[in-house]
Amino acid sequence: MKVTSRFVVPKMRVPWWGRLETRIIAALVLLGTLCVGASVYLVRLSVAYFDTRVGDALDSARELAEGIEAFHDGLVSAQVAAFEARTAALAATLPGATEDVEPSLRAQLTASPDVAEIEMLGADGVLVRVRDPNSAEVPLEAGVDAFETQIALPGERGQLRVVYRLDPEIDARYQRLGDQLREIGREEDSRADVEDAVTLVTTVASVLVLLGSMFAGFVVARTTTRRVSELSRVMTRVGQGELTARSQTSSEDEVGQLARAFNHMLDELAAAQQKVAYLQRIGAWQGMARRIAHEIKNPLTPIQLAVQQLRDKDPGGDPRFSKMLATSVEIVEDEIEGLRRMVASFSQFAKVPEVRPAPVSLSRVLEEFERAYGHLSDDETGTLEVRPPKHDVEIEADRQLLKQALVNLVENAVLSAREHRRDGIRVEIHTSSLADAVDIVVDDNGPGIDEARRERVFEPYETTRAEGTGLGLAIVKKVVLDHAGEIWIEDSPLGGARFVLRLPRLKAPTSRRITGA
Amino acid sequence: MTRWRRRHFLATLAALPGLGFARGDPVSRRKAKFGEIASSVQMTLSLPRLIRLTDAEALASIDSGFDTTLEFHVTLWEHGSREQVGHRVIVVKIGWNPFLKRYVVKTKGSTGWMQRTFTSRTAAIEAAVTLDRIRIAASDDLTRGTFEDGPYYFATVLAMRNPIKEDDSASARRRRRGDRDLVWFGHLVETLAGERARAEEVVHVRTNYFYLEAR
Repeated sequence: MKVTSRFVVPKMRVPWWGRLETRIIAALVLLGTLCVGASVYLVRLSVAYFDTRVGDALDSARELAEGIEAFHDGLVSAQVAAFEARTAALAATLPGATEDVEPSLRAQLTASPDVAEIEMLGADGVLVRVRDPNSAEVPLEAGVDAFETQIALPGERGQLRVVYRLDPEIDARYQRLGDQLREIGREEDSRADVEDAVTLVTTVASVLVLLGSMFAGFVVARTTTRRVSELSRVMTRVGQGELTARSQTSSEDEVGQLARAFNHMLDELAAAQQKVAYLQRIGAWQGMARRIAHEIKNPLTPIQLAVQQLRDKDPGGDPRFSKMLATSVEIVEDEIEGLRRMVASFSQFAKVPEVRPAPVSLSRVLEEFERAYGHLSDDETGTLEVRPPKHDVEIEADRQLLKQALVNLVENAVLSAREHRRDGIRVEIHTSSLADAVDIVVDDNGPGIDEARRERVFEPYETTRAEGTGLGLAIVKKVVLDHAGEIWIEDSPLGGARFVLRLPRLKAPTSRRITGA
Repeated sequence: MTRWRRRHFLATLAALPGLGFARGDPVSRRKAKFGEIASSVQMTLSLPRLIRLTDAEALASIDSGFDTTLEFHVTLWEHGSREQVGHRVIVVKIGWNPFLKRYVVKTKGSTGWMQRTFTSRTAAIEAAVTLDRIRIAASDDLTRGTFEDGPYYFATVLAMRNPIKEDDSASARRRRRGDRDLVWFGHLVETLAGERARAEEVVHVRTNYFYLEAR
């Protein structure tokens, strides 16, 4: 019974908000926004934390600088007071006689290395000045390099002026402190702005990263969902009956694996369909062959008897008639014999029994075949070589039918080679084991089979041999298919055709059987 | 929205941050006095905005004894020409000297530092922010002309209070540390924070035109 199923697949028009692509992008945006928000919040916390610490450090630095500033003021005041005291002391020790003043001033100058110059203007208008001979030619800068004190001498004896040398490094260090304080001020002024700027930069960078991630996610989601959509379209086409449709996805990820699995499933389905169709065709041909054999076989015997009676009843009076009759009878009998042979092959084809599989050793099958049909190589010009497997393999098969299939293959090879007048006909049978199957390979050095005809030769009554009935290979394929196997043709290294029979191994997990037509 | 409009809208949108960060120094006009003394052209210009008498922080800085540095970049231009005729940098320091107990204004000229002292802070500030008869060019460097025909000259003065030396800045310190990413990030943050100011106070002025009378 032929069952045809047609699924009506509704057109899948998913609204944009329901698409996988939209959902993935929305999830990415949501996650990205959360991440950016959390990142910015943490950055702001970090900046605020370090800003507090920096603020404390700046406050400490400012306090320190202000302390130094006060210390510097005190130092200057003390130094000024000391200079003034030293000048007053000097004034008190000056001799009264004017001519004794200069040696006294010079002695003071020598005794005080930080004194650069001493000058006394007497009441009589006489000026006595002594200078440090080691003083530089460059004039000292008041307030920076030098400090000048001036007092009136006791007893209205005149004025005394002393110039003390200052260490310029003190002022330089103090000015550097001022620079540092300004830097601290700038840092304090810009703290809030810097905090905002760091947050802004981090936010902008995070948003850029988010946009990049969204774009990448969009591309990935689009690519993935497109492939899923493409697979979905292929499924729809298959559902509508277009069994040749295949997914073109070639990626290595899960979607690619799904597509490949789906394609493989379709291939398997197509192969199974082909097997079923083939077996149905073979079944139909078998029915027809059975009927033809029956219809032809029945009148053959009366025809032959009638012809023999004609020959027996010949009175022999006319030699010319007798000769013509004998020739005619011979022709009719030849044709009857031909028809008998054809009927026999039809009957053989029609009577291919149902496979009754049983566990059997492949070596045993090949040994029995070689023992029973080794005569096929008796031909002086022919060689049949059977190489059993090195490690025996158990298969589930009908031993007799499998041997019959091998006989048909070898006969086909030998006859084809003979028709092409080849010398040194060679047929080899060997096996190769796979994980869950075993291949029986039949090689010959015959004319080979064109690639275009390799499928057709298994069709019943399809032959290129003058003497062939076109049923041998059809029987072989039926037997193989009944064993849930496969058969195909390749080029043989011997120069002819190679028939490969792939049969499932015993207890093979993937073994399946297609029986009957 | 057409494609053209959309492109311009997007371009404007993209340029907005750049426009926002662009900071130019507004150049205002300020009247100066020019005179020819012997063989030099001299200018007198006062820029009181540089140290405002109401700027408590600036005044406190002066009183603290730390020198407040004023830097004047004087550039002389010929009207209608893009090439400068002359350029001069004048540095002035003002501060309280605890030894002298006076305000000191030091000006760095071509012959070295020149020092003036003041008892009044206001007078010291006024002296510091005034470029008093400074030589801006040699007479021979200018072309003499007439009031009607010119050529005319003018000066631009970029004055800065306590200019930030690049070597002492945070950017320079980061650069010395050698972390390029940190330098880049610092530039970005400072640009956004507006921290890349060149000085505590910047005054940029352009003077009136003058011409050198024919003799």
